[in-house]
Amino acid sequence: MAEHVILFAGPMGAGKTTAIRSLSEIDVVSTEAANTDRETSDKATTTVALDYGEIDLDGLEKVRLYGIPGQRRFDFMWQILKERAKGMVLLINNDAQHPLQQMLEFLTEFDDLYRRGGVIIGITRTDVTTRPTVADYAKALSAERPDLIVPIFTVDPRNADEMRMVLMTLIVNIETRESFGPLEASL
Amino acid sequence: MTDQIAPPRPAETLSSPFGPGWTSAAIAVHSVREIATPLLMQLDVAEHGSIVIDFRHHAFAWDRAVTTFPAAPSSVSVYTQTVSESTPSPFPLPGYDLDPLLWFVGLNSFASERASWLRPDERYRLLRWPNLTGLRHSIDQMRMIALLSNSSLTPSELASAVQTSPAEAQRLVNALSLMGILRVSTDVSAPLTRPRTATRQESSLFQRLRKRLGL
Amino acid sequence: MSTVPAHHDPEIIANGAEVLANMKELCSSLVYAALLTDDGFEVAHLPAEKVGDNRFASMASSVQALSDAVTRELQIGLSSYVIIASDHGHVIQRRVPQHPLVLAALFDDDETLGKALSISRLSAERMSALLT
Repeated sequence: MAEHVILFAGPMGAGKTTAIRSLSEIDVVSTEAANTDRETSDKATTTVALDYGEIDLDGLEKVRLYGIPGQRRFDFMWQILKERAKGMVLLINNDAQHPLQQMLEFLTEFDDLYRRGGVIIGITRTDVTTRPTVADYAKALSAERPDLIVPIFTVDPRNADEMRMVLMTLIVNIETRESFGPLEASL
Repeated sequence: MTDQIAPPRPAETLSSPFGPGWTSAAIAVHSVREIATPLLMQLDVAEHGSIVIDFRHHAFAWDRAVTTFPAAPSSVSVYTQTVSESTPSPFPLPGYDLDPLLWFVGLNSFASERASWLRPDERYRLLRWPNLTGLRHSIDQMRMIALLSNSSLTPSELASAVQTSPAEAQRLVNALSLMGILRVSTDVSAPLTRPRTATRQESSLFQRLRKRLGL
Repeated sequence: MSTVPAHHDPEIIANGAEVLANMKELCSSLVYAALLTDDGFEVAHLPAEKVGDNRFASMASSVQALSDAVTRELQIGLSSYVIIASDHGHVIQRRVPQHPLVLAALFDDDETLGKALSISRLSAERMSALLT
C-alpha cells in the first residue's frame, strides 16, 4: 500500500491534535497525558508520543497524519517521524509568547522538509489576538530564509474545510516543487 | 465618510475604457501603491454603500460583509485624500484586512484581460502566498499560485500548465499583482525555470486527494 | 489535591527517591530507575548519574502512552506493564496505581524477568501507598 506521511508540528497548544481530528476519517489515536506544565500551556492534557489519523484514498493508498508532541523534551519523536514525512503542517498559536521565534525554531528543526518545499504554516488562535499578522510572519521568515516561499495562512484547526484547504495547498506545493526540481537560475 | 474625503479634482477623476465595474478602482489602487504618499481612498459602489481604505494600515471598512461584494456593480466612484502618517484612521482599527478586497477587485477588473499596468510577454513569480483562508478561491487558482511560487510564468504558460482558460490565468495575475505580491521579469529570451517533466495531473496525489475530499 | 506538579513537590520527590533506593536494595541487578509524571517529567532517578541524553523520562512517558493506546485500540483493558527486552537487559515500566506517575526501571540480563516484574510491581504499589 502506498502511504504519504504528513506531520503536524508546532508548539504546545497550537491545535495539532484538533487539526488531525478535523481531517481524519478514522477516530484519531491519541497519546494524551495529564499536563503538569501549566505555565507553558493551560491545557488539561498534552500529547506525549503522537497522534495518528488517516485519509484512505482508495483502499490502496493512505495519507497518514501524525501529530508530534510540541515540547522539546519529546524531540526524539520528531526525529523518528520526520524521516518518513512527505510534508509538514506547522501550526503556531498566535497568542503564544514568542510566536515568530517559535516558527523559526521549528523550521530549523525540520529544515530538510522545509528545503524540499514540504511545509505550510498555519497560524491559529487569530480570533484571540490579531497580532502578529500573517504579513509579520512572512516578513520574519523572509528575513531569515529568503530562498523559499512558504504558504502562511490563518487557520482554525476545528474547521474541517480550512484544514482540507491547508492540506491540499501543502500537497500541491510539494508536487509542483518536485516537478520543477532545484532552481536553475536565480532571479 | 464622504464628509472626510473630498471629491477629487478633475485631474484626479479616473476613467477606464472598460466601462462600469471595478476597473477604475483597480487602476486607482494600483496607482496609490506606486507612490509613497499616505492616502485614504473611498469607493462609492452603486447600491452597495462606500468602502473606505486606509493604506497605511492595509485595512478597509465597509458596513457589509466582504462576502457580499458585487462582481459587476453598475458604477464605482473613486475618491482619494492625502493624509499624514499621524492622521487618525477614519474607522476603528484593525478594520478588515485589505487583501481580500484587492483579491476580489483584481479578479473582477479589466474584463479578464491584462491589467493596464502589466505588459505583454512578462513573466511573473510570487513574492509571497496570499492567505487563502480569507479568499474565496478555486482549486485551479490554488494550483496556479503554487506554480507561481516555484517558477516564473506568463499568463498563457500558467493557463496551459493547469489546463484552464487564458482569461482565468490573467484574472489571477491581475489580482495577485494588485495585491502587490507578484514579481515581474521581462526576460523572455528563455524561461528562467521550467518543469523538468510535464506535470501529470491525472496521476498526482493532489488530484486523487481532491477527488477523495470531493473538492 | 496539591496543585504543585509532582516533579516539583519535595515530598513526592523524597518518597520517590526512597522507593527507588529500596528497589536497588531488593535487586542488585537494577541498573537505572526513574519515577516520572505521565507527561514525561522526571520526579526521581537512581543512580545519581543519568543515562543517555537525559530523555529517559520523556521516552518512558511516550512508551507508556503508546502502550495504553494499543490496549485501548484492541479493547483488552488497561495496560499492566511494558517490557522492552534487549541484548543487555530489560526495561520494565508500569503505572503507579491511582496516580499519574510511571515507574520505569532497567534491569541487567543477570536478572530473571519474573523477579524484575515482581520488584517493579511491589515498588509501584509502595509508591502509591506513600502518596495516598
